Amino acid sequence: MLNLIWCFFIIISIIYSIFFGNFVNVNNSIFSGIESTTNLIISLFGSMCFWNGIMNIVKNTSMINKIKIIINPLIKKLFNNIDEDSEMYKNISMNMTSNLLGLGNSSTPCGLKAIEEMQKENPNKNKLTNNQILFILINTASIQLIPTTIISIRTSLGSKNPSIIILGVWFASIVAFLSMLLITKIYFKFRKSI
Amino acid sequence: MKFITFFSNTAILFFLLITILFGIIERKNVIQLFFDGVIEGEKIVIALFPTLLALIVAVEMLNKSGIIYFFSNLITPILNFFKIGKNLSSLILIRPISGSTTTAVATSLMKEFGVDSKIGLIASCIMGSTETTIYVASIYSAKIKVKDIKEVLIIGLITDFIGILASCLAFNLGLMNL
Repeated sequence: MLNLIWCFFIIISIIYSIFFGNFVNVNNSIFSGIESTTNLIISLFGSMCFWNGIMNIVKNTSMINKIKIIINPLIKKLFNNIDEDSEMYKNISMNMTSNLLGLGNSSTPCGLKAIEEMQKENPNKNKLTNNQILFILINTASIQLIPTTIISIRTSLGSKNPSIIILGVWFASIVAFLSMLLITKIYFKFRKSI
Repeated sequence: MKFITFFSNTAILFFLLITILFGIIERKNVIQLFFDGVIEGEKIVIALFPTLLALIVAVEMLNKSGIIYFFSNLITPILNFFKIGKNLSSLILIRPISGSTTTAVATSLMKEFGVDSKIGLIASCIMGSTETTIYVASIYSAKIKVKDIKEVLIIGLITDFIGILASCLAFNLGLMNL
């Protein structure tokens, strides 16, 4: 996917710029692009390392259990027929907690394990179960306690107050998450009736 | 608006305080845990560098060639209907497909219009409140070898769009005023 996007972007920019006489700008943009990547990566480096360090403290104290206590009732409410002692349940719980903390590296492996466990109970291997649909959709929604990547990008670009967006991000992601749940639940009712 | 500024500025401090207190009360080696996390973070950033370098350069080229306006015009009618600025269209188009390209597009938008401008703030909010829906749906479905994922994609993309509208609303409600 990325391969196609990248090649397409470059080829099309060059051809278009030659046709419309913009090639000097495009030529210069290569160098300015390299420079902005360097600036961005330096500031991302500090910020992402710092937050990963803090989140690692969260992960290794009982604070993570406190977060799970908030998430667990939600899991029980959202998913059908789910056994609290199962491996699947633990993976779902860990996946959602890591997502909340912005730990992409630990959320995806747990998520993939969880969906495999769900597939074992799936009677029709070519179709997604309701639980699987909901689980994937939860992962395509993004609720993060602290949106660290954006804050670091904003810092690297010299924002006066990089973290001012927190409240807006919470608001927008919660609205999106709740509408996703609503649409999915309506779809499930419709799906059963077929 | 005082409250919002106060809240945004104290949320992180409060979180940090609680985290450290948990560590101390449970007699953990807090700074060692921090170091371990940092080392893991280094690997993440270094792994991110090649993609970011490739895509930021490509997006800058796309921007400067002028063709981005051609693509943006494709969805302008929809954006006009919902009163979303058309400058955000490139971000909205790429958001569900690729995370690093989104970073590249958002960075160039914030550079062009100002990081604390209306567009800069809404772009930040869109980045934080939506996910790379198509990408996530494909890795999960590929893992269990299910090909039919159209319902997930449809609901996921509708939700992303709601997230975008909510980001604009958040700005209009003054949730991100400096």
